[in-house]
Amino acid sequence: MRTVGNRRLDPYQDSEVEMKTVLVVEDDKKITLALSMRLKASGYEVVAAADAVYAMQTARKSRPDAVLLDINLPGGDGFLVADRLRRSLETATVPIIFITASKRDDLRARATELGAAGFLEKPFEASALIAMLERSIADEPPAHGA
Amino acid sequence: MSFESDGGEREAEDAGDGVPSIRVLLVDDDADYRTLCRRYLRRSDAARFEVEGVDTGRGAVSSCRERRFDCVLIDYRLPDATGTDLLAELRDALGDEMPPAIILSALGGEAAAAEAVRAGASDYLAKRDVSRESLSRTLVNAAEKGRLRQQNLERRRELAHAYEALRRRNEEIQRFYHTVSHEVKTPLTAIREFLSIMRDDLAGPTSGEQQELIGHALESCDQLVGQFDDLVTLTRLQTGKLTIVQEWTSLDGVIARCLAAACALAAEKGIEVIDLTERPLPSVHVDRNRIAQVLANLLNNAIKYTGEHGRVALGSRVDLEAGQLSIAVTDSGPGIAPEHLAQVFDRLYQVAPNLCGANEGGLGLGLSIAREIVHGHGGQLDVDSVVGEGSTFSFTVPTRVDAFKPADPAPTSVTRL
Repeated sequence: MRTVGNRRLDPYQDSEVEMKTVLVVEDDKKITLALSMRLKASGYEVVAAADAVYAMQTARKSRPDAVLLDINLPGGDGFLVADRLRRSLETATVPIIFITASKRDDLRARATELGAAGFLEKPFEASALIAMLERSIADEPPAHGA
Repeated sequence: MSFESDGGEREAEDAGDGVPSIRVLLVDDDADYRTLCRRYLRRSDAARFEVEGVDTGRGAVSSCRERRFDCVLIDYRLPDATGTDLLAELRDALGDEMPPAIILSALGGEAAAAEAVRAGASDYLAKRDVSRESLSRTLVNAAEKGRLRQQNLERRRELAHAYEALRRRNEEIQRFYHTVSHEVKTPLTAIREFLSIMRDDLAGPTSGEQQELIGHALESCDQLVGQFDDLVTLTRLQTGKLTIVQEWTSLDGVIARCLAAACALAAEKGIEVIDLTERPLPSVHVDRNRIAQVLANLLNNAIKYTGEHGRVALGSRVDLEAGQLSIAVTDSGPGIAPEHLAQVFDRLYQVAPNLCGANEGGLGLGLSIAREIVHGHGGQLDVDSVVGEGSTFSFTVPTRVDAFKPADPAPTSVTRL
C-alpha cells in the first residue's frame, strides 16, 4: 500500500482512504509501544508524546483526529494536557479518550468536564480501544477539512 | 486587695473518705461577710471546703488565672465591677477553663436570678437565704456541674482527635491504593497488551501451540487484574470512597444478566441454576451496578462451593411492611459449620477451599465486597447454612408498596444444564 503524506492509496479502490492520526500521550514507554503497534495494525497513524509540553507541540503540529491521554501523567499533567488542548483553537474539539488505572469517580468527573469522549481502563481489550476510537472519530467532524 | 486563704496551694482532691474537696474563691468586698461564709463552710459536712477570699473583681481574675478553683462565689456589687461584668471578664480570660460561678446578691428575686443565669452564672443565691446548709449545697452542686462539664469537654476533644486521625488515615489509604493501582496496572497492561499483540499475529505468525500458551498467560493476567480490582474495590467501599447512588429501578434486567453469566460458569461443573424469584419484582431503591456486583459475587460463590452436578437457586421474598425485598442464593454445597459462619464475610477467609476439588484460588473478597455494598444500601446480608446440605446467602434492599408493576409476561425460567 503506497502512502502519500497521510493519504493511503488503496489499490482496490479508486478513492483515496485518508489515514486518521492518533496522538498517544503516555509516559510509560512500553504502553506507548504496545498502543502504537495496535493502532498501526488497525490502520492509524500514531504520534506519541510523554509529557505535557511535547504533547501540545505535537498536537499543534500533527492535528490528530483523536487523542489517547493517560489520566495519570506525572505531576497531574494529564488534566493539564486536556485543559490546554481544549483552550487551543486547533485542538478544541478533538476527541480525547482518557486512559485510567482505576474507577475513581472524582477523576472521571473532572475528565468529563473537560469533554472526555470516553474512558479506557487499564488493562484494556484491543477491540474495545479500536471501537471507542472509531466511534469518537466518527462523531466528530474531521480535524482537517476532507 | 486583701487576700486570705484557708487551704494553701495544694490541688483539690478527695481524701478518700468520700467527702469531696472543693476549692472556692470568694469574691466580696465585705470582709465580715467573707468571714461569715468561711465559718459556715468550715462547719459543713457536705464537703471539705478550701476557701480563698478576694475583695475586687480584678483580684478575682488574677486569682483564677494563677490557681484552679472548683467554683467561684461572686458578690453582685463589687467596688470595681458588677457581678455579671466580672462573669464576662472571667469568661474572656479563662474560656473553657472558667469555673462555675455563683452570684450572691443582696437584692434577691426571680428576676435577678434569671439575669444572673443569663449572664452565665451557674447558680444564684440571695444573701438573706444564705445559711450553712444552703451555701454548702449550692457550692457542692456548682462544683459537680463544673466537673461534669469539664469531663464532657475532654471527651469531645478526644473524639475530635480520634476522628481527625481516622480521617487522615483514610486519606492515606486512599492515596496509597490509588498509587498502587497505577503502579500495578501499568505493567500489567503492558504484559497483557504484548501477549495480545503476539496472539493476534501482529509481531509475526504464531503456531497453534504458541497461541495456546499465550492464551494461558492472558487468562492468568486477567485473573491477576480481577483480584487486584477486588482489593481496591473493597478498600474504597470500606473507606467510604466508593459512592453508592441509589435510584428507584427494576432488578429484572440485572437478575437476567447475572443468571446468564452464572449459567455459563455453572455449565463447566454441570451445575443446575434455577430462577425461583417471584416476578414481577417490585421496584427497588438501589445502585443497579453495585447490586449486580453483589448478585454476581453470591452466584459465583455458590457455584464455586457446589460440587459437580449440584444445584444453585435464586429466590426472592417481599416484606411490604418492612419495605424490603430479600434476594437469596441457595446452593447444594457442603455447607458452613456454625463456628465459621460469623467469619465468612471477613476478608481473605476461605472455608476449606479444596473441598470441592477445583482449583479455586482468589483473595476471597467477594463476600466482603457484597456485604459492604449491601450495608451501603442500608440492608442486611445474612447466611444460613446446614453442614452437608448447603448454604443460603440472602440480602435485603429497600422496596416500596406502590411500586408493583402490572403483571409482566416475565416467565420464571428453569435452566437445566
